[in-house]
Amino acid sequence: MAAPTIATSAASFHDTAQKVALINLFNALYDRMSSQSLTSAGLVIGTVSKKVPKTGANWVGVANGVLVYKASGTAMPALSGTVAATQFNVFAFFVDSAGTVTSAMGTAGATLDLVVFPPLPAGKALLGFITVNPTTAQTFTGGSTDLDDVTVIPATKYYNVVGAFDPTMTI
Amino acid sequence: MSAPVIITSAATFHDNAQKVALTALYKALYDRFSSQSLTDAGIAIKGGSASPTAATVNEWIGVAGGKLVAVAAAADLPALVGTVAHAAFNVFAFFVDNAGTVTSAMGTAGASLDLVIFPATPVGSALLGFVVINPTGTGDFVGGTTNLDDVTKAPNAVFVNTVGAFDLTMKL
Repeated sequence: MAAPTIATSAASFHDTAQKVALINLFNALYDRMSSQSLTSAGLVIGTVSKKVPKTGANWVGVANGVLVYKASGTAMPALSGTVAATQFNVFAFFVDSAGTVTSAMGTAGATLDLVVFPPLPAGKALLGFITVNPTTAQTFTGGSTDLDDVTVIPATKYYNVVGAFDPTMTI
Repeated sequence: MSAPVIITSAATFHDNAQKVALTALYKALYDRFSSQSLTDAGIAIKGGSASPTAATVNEWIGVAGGKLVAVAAAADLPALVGTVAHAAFNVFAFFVDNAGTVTSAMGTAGASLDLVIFPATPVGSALLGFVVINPTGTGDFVGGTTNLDDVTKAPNAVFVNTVGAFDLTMKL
């Protein structure tokens, strides 16, 4: 069955505050269902530039209800931000309905579970993300440090997300 | 965008019954979106054979209660607890909480796979995967004792790695 339109359904609520609350709640859920990865991108370290990952497989997703595609070998956008020595952080890659890929850094933590994932932009699919954890006394500088730098040793790990998730939907 | 806070949104409902109902519905949905596997753990029998224990093959990452959690490759999963009678089907599920602690839980057995009742997913925990057991040999499968590839009891262990949000209890 086709999902009902949120605005139409919410119109039956005469209390404006309730209506707005319901719309906001359902917007968040609907957006994740219609904006997500459908296949694994197979992220790996780039070849032209080792400062960014590239897709290792053809990728298909849906962004704001539109099918989007990235060919295998597509370089991800430049990373922006630094990760201090011994800290953990993530760089996430999003794809909008025009197929444009953007990246965003999370908020660092002393351990992986303390990392705060960057907000998932409305209408964008999360293609995947990398984790960076410089294990030497060096800072990882996004866009400058190679993902396999032997001095900084960022301990980069590549993750391919498939399906709907939103780490901000905590209860 | 960050998802709205359920309690704040539900507070707009002045009817307490409506507020409670709405909160419960949303908590179930939200929890699955923020507690799930993000990668395939590649669960297999520990060491490749002759063990009652399941283990990860791949490094696994998931989200539990909104926090990133990881389990190393080749990590032993908790001991299976419970018995599956000869010919019955059941599942042993593995959950990871937001501290990275892995637990296991057995479902309720059924005469066929579709009659198995999956164990309840703990709030704020990700389902890493599960093992299906259906002993067709001689005798019952005893979790933690019977090897997952025992040739006498023939548990027919099938290892399933879940990725993404799912909840078998969310049926229409």
